[in-house]
Amino acid sequence: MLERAVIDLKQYADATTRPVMFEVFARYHLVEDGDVRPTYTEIARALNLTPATVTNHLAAMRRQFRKIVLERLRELTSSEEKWEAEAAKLLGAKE
Amino acid sequence: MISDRVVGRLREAAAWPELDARYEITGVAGSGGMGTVYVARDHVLERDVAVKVLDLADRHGSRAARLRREAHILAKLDHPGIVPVHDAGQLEDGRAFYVMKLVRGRRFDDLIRDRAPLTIRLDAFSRILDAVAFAHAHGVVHRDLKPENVMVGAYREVYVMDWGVAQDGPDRDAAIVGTPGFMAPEQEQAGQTVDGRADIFALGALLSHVVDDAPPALKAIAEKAGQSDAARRYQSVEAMAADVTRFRNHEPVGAYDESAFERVVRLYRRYELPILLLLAYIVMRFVLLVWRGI
Repeated sequence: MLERAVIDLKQYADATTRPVMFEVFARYHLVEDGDVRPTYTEIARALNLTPATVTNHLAAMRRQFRKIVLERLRELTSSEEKWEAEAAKLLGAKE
Repeated sequence: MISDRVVGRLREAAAWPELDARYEITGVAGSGGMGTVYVARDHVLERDVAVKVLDLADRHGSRAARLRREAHILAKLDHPGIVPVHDAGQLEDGRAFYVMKLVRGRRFDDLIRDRAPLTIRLDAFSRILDAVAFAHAHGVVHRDLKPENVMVGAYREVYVMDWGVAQDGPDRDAAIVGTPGFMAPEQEQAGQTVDGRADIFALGALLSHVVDDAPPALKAIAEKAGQSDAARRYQSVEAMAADVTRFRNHEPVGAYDESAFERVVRLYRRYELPILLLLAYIVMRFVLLVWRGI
């Protein structure tokens, strides 16, 4: 489901004519290699943006991603109670 | 196919609280039943803070109301043993949050597990009693006191944490809340009246953990606090604290009937220095008398 949500997010970013927003999100949240994720400044430098723009893009993308995930989860659950339980389980950040 | 690591990061991205520019999330401090505590940088005051955020904005708003209630209780309880709240609000997606002091230190259960000296454990316990007594004086019953909900800082400062199920005023919801082993019998039954004596029961259980290697007088205090019948417990935290203080000062403890031998040992400990000085004086006098006699 999360994979599908990422695809939806990319489509959303492409539709807004700001595909770089998804690129920022991918560089920060989809990084596979090693444990160290890039800083906002490193992403800004790599994409020729300001760190403030990176912050704003990330915030917008995360908000949209959360919305997509919760909507998809709603489609997969049969009642509001089940949706709440599943969403709380999925979104409960772990240490 | 995405890896488990990326799944974790995507879950994190979906849960990420988008606070205003003042607070920058830098990590996760812990997560609980209904929310997550993040570590954040407060860019206005240039300090690290803790931000408790709901994982989900529920339909009826009951979780949000509970979190806001917790923030209000913390704001009301201005005491060195209770973590101060700095700010509270609601995210754009409807989730409630509040910002509080970031407490760095160890959980009380770690301190107990590592067999810290009894004096240190008792000192921390006395500070817990102070904080709970203060809350009771303001009409607040914690209802979930346990070692995991107490933090001890680097300078031995003690914070009673997690006031999420605290009762502020008369119990109206009559919900069953607490942790088995620390819950008073009256907390285990819906509809029962719960008052400050439920916390005294938990403090008794907590003291039993603190002093499993302690003298009988201290165990007697824990036993009295942990009585099933609320009427047989200490009737106030102050009364329990007074007994703990008496124990620490080598004075007779109200909850314990000591034997004559124990009384002598206690009095010796209480007046150890004067007794030793007196003995030294008597020995010296005796030696002088013998020496002059020769």
